Parts: sequence; structure tokens; C-alpha cells
Amino acid sequence: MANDDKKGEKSEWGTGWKVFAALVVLSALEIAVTLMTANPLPFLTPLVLAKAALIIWYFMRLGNLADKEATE
Amino acid sequence: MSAATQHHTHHHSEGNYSILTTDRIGLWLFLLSESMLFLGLLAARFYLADTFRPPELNQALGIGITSILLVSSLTMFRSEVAIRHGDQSSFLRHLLITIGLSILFLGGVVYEWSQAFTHFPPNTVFGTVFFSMTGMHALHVLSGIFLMLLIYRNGRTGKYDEHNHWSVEATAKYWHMVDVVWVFFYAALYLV
Repeated sequence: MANDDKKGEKSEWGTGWKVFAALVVLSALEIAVTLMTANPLPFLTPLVLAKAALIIWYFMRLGNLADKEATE
Repeated sequence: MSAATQHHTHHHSEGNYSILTTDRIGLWLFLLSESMLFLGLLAARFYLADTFRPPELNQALGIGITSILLVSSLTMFRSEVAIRHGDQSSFLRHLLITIGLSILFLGGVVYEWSQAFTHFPPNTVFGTVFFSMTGMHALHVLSGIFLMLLIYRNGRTGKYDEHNHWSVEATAKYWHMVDVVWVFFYAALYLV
């Protein structure tokens, strides 16, 4: 049981790292787009929205609204 | 009321939703209402200053503080995952790192302000949007630090475990919202 818990924790932590890596890549793309184009706004918009969506879905766990897990 | 009854009523309200779900919906509604304020500031930035960006903006500092905030979201996520699995020491350790990073972020903003006052003071158009946006965001960072300190203090006394950590979850969601806002503000102020 404790082992399962550790595994679950590690698996979630792994997801966190993957999301973070995606955020870093998207941030690098934002900077590249800014350096390469005169009007970066149309290119920045989808990148910014993608970053926000990743944080909201994975870090803020929007999908857990109906979960019946721990409470206080 | 017996402990068992108290436990039961805590998990199930009169309708079909548990108290936890109601708490979560309430928090999301609060965060949604907060985002309206930030959306207003974002709209004001483009309405007042269009896509103008002064060359004196410290780009290196912008990237630096943005990176700090992104890492702090990861450590906050780690802290919440840890308490959901009953890992007290990891929860407290990562929460403390998050607090440290958020203080570092605020330090960066203060330094940026000290430069901004010289190059684009608040009585200029860009200064108005810059100080309004970063100021309102910094206030939210400050309240986030206060909340994190509060759950750190409670966490040290063992108040949270894998079954009982709504305060941690709520604080983590609030902190990530602060990060989401900065994702938009950073692009609007430093990149467009």
C-alpha cells in the first residue's frame, strides 16, 4: 500500500516535470518568435494560451472538480 | 453529533455535491472573478499603449523573474502532490522552496521598478500600464506568500495529511493562478 502510494507520487511528479518541460519549450518559442518577427502578437497568442491551458489543466487540476478525494 | 455523523455530513451536502466539490467550485468562481480584473488590465495595456514596448525594458530580468515563477509553480505542484500522498517532509520542503522563489520573484519586481521609475515613470502611458499590471500582480504574489506561510505553519504542526488538505490544494490553485496571470502579463509587457 505504501509502495503504491510512493509509485503514485512518483508518477504524478513525472507528469509535473513533463508539463514544466513543455512550458520551458513554449517560453523559448515565445522569445524566438519575438526576436524573429516584427509583429509577434499573432504568433504569441496561441503560445501563451497553450501555456495557460497546461498550467490550468495539469497544475491546477481543473479536471478534479468532481473528484471525491481528501477534504478537510 | 457523533464523529461518524460529522464526517458523513462533511462529505455530503443536501444536494448531489460533496462539500469538497462545492469548495472547489467556489474557489474556481473566485479565481474566474479575479481573472476579470487581470483581463481588464490586459485590455487597458493594448488600448492605452497599443503594442509599444520601450527599448529600456530589462529583458534579461523579465526572463529571469518569469523563470523563477514557472519553477515555483512546479515546486508548489510537487508540494501538493506530496501531501496528497501523505509525504509530510517533501510537502514542507517544497513549500518552503516555493516561498523562497516567490520572495525572489518579488525582489526582481522591486528591482525592475527601481529601473522603470527612471526610464518610464508612472505618469507616462507605458509607465501607467506597466506599474498597474506589475503592481496588481505583485499584490497577488504577496497574498500568495501570506497563504503559503500560513499553510507552512499549520503543516509543521501536522495539520494536513493525505485525507485532510483542502487548504493546501486551495493555496496551490491560487498560486498557479498567479503564474497563469504572469504568463499573459510577461508576453504583453516584454514580448509584443
